[in-house]
Amino acid sequence: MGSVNVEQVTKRYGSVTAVDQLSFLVREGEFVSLLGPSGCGKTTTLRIIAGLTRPDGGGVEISGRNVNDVPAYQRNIGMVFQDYALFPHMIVAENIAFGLRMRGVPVAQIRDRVRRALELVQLPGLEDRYPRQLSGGQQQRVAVARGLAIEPAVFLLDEPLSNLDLKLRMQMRLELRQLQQKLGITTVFVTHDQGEALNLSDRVIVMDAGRIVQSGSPVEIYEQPRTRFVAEFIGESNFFEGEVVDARNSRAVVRTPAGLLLQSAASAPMARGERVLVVVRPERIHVVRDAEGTAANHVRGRIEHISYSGASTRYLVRLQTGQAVLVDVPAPTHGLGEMVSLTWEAERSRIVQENGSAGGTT
Amino acid sequence: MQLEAGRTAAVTRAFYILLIAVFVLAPLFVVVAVSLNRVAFTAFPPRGLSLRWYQAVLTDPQWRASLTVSLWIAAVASLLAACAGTLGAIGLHRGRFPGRDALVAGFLSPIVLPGLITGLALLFFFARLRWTGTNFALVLGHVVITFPYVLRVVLGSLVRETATLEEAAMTLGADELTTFRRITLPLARPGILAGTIFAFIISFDNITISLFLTAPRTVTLPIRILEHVQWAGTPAVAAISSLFVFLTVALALVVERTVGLHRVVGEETVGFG
Repeated sequence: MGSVNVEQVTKRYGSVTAVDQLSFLVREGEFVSLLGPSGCGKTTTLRIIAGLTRPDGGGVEISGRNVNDVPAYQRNIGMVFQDYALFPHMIVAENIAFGLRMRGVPVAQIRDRVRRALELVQLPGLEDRYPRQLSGGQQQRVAVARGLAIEPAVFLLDEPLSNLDLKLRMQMRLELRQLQQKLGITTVFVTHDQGEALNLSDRVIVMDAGRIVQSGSPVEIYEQPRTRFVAEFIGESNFFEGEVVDARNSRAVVRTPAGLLLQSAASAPMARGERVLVVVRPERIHVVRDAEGTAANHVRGRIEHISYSGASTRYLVRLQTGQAVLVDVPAPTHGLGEMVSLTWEAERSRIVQENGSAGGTT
Repeated sequence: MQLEAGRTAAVTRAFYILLIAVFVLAPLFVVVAVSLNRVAFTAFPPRGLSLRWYQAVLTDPQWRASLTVSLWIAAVASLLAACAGTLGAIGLHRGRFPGRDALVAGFLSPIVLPGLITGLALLFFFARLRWTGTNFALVLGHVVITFPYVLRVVLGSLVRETATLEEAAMTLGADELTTFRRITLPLARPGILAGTIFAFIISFDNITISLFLTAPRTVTLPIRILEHVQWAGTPAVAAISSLFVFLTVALALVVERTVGLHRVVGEETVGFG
């Protein structure tokens, strides 16, 4: 088992800085996701850890050893590529055995370890097939088996689930997580799918424009986004722009230009007069017919659109201020065109900066 | 109704293809037919059937010498072309550098340049080096015109996925040389084989480059055929030409079975099934 320490890593392609002085640590046995939109530098970061791309600055340590000058083939990493990269001219057994052969594992042991690797990914008995004879999901599993068979110090996955259909993707997500926990293997997982990142990871690192925007547990990332970018990229959010009129005891009151007064939890100290955004998730808002009760926040609006999707229903509510608010409720209890009150607790919303105090998002 | 219309279309298409095939292949049938003549002049249809002209060319020292020379030159040239073309293709496949496309165009230019120009250029070049009339220069000339075919086919067989496969091998612990041996080469092998066979055919058939570069004493088979047609004109020339055709068809079949002929001679759209 190993750890990964990425320190001040920078990579430029021409005038574009793909990775910008990036630093983070992956502890032994931890499952860390690099999450971000395409072009945010997450895959480049993974390739730098793997030794497939040379950084322009900074360094990578694997298990405490600086590997800047260690070629990919000596880093003892297992990697799963987006398109699986199974060797088409070799059968499944040879694909999995490839890494073992390179390590000089005795032939007698190879057979056994190939069999065990296939059992691990629940594909026993497919040793003699060629990759083209397998389904996408099976190929994916073989790629995982090939990466794990060598018992690498670090397991790197580059969007491994993005080529699978939805149902299979959900299933593989679960299996991947169970496998990782069973083996306790240090894992870095690159994805642009926030659901995958939240589901799988011990820790999510949100990236944008080559930098870390926020890093934390899935719950922290979702419940306490620090910037508009994070709140928008992970899940869906309603934003209210406004000015801080009162702030104390990790609470703040924000007044919007339209005159709404909103109370919200604040993770960082606020100054009066500061321009901020209040973030509320659609499922944290309650819909009532009349404004009563004790909730800290309530606003009035008319239901303009309803989209029903079984497990939940989404209302688009047009406020009297003209702003549209998304609300998710478990069951559709209100009709189109109805005037309703929206309420939520102060603890259920967050205050973020437009450009982020977490440093340098755009 | 619709079925009927479909059938008519199919019949028309089949007839059309047959017409083209006849147009292209009929001259070859004439050559083969003439080669079977019993008489000593190129009668068509042949007067009496016999294989005597095949025997004649295969026992005639001059024909044999020319056949041997051409086979040797084609063999050596295509092997050299295979090495140069393969290495070139692998280099071009790996690298993303400025001027790469220009380099590819430059390497492939002997395919599009008129052979006469290439021949003349080679003649001037080798004359400077005082190499004209040597078999060495002749072989080098053939390499120049044949290696673009190898380059093109091998480059075509090293698709973008190959780079990912090479990286996968590296992460599994294979160094550069092992990756080349175990991954790159096996994936490129059908392309290399097809390209080499094609280079062999091009060299064996070539006349323009050879006309410029051969010594008076080394007469390649195509040149010998040309001379024979000019001066003698017995069915012997038809017999050797028929052998030529059979050899080419056999090699083309091998290419078709390994990578598909369309990848060597042109674009993907040609498709032979």
